Amino acid sequence: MANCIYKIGSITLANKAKQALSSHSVFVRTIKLSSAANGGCAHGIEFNCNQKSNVTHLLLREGINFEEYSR
Amino acid sequence: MIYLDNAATSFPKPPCLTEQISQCIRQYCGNPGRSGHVLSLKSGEKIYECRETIASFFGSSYPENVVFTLNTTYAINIAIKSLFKKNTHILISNMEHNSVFRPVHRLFNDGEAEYSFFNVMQPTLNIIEELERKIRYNTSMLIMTHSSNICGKVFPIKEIGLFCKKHNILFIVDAAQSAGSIDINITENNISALCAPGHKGLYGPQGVGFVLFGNSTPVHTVFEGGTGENSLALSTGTSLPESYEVGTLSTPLIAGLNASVKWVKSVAINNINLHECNLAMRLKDILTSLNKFVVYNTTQNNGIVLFSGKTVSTEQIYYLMNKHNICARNGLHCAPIAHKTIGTPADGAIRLSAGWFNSIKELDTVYKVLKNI
Repeated sequence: MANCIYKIGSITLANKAKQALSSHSVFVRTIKLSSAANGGCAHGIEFNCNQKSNVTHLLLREGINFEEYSR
Repeated sequence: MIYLDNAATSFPKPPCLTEQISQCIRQYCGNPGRSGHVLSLKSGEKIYECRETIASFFGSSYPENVVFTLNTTYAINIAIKSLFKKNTHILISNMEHNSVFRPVHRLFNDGEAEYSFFNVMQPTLNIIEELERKIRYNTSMLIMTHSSNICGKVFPIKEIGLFCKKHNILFIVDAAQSAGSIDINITENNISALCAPGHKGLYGPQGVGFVLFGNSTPVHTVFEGGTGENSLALSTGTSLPESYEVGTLSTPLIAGLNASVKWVKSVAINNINLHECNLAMRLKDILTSLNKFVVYNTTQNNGIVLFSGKTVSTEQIYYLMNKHNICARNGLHCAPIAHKTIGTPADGAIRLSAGWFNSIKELDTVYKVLKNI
């Protein structure tokens, strides 16, 4: 399955998201995003799309804002 | 050499500090939050780990509320200026370091704020009564040190935090002398911003300190520049923590601080505090028994003892101690207001400050030197 990306914002919040997810055994990696259309540099998380509903649910529960991102 | 200047900076440091700094420089020191490669991401992760360590150490669940700074003075400036509302009134204690007094006085000089002192060297109930009398309709902030940098006295932040909560006043605490030596819970004490150095009681390196924001959200940036995100925006933004940490952070120092805070936690604050107090009480006994010094400590909350000579000047005593390789600090300790409050001589006093790595045996040498003054 393809990888999905959520744009989080800062490296701190991307790491917060990564930590929060790993504590629920959901493993993602932080990535740098640089699309001009999205306001310039940002950090996000990349994960297997079959985890999407799980990731979405957990981020919402943790109060971490995100938006879908495509390269 | 006998090092009794731990209130200026702790020395020596735990070995884990140099190991972590060295490992960072040798193995993964990319620019955190700037690039997408493995070294940059690893540095960003290490810094986040330190935010978690610090937040948890001080009772916060929000690692993103930790803003790294150069030192406590920068932390206090950021806390005050990022939270400050124009044309308001500020309360500060009469035991403040210039790191609190000068930024507040600058706001006053610029016509942006008024300020009043309150006497923190009195029983807690009297402090609260005085605060009740001194607040105004536009009092927006109360800023105070948790523990005096000249005599070590610890002040009742829990009760003052409750007072601030009751009156909806921001509460900024300077923990330069207490972080790592006395347990502090930012949530339980209603602290809006806690400012601390890495290099004193947390046994970290010089060059890194932090503000931990509590129940408040900063609204003004103090420095402008790159944050690694939103590059196309014209302003720096106000999001925690990056908007308040413009430019490249020092990953090696932050990695070192992360290790040293964990070390303090493993030794346990209570053990450190007990050891420091025992040493300070011995120092106090030495000074009192010699009957030629004035000791200014009324209570012993940590490793600091402040004294001056009855007949010999502070400078002369300090000169002789220095000659015998006893490292202490004399003068006004950047806190002339506090010296005035407790009534030291015009040239200040000598501060001895014990730390975890001092021993009772070392104090015998201090006794011999002071006896011959």
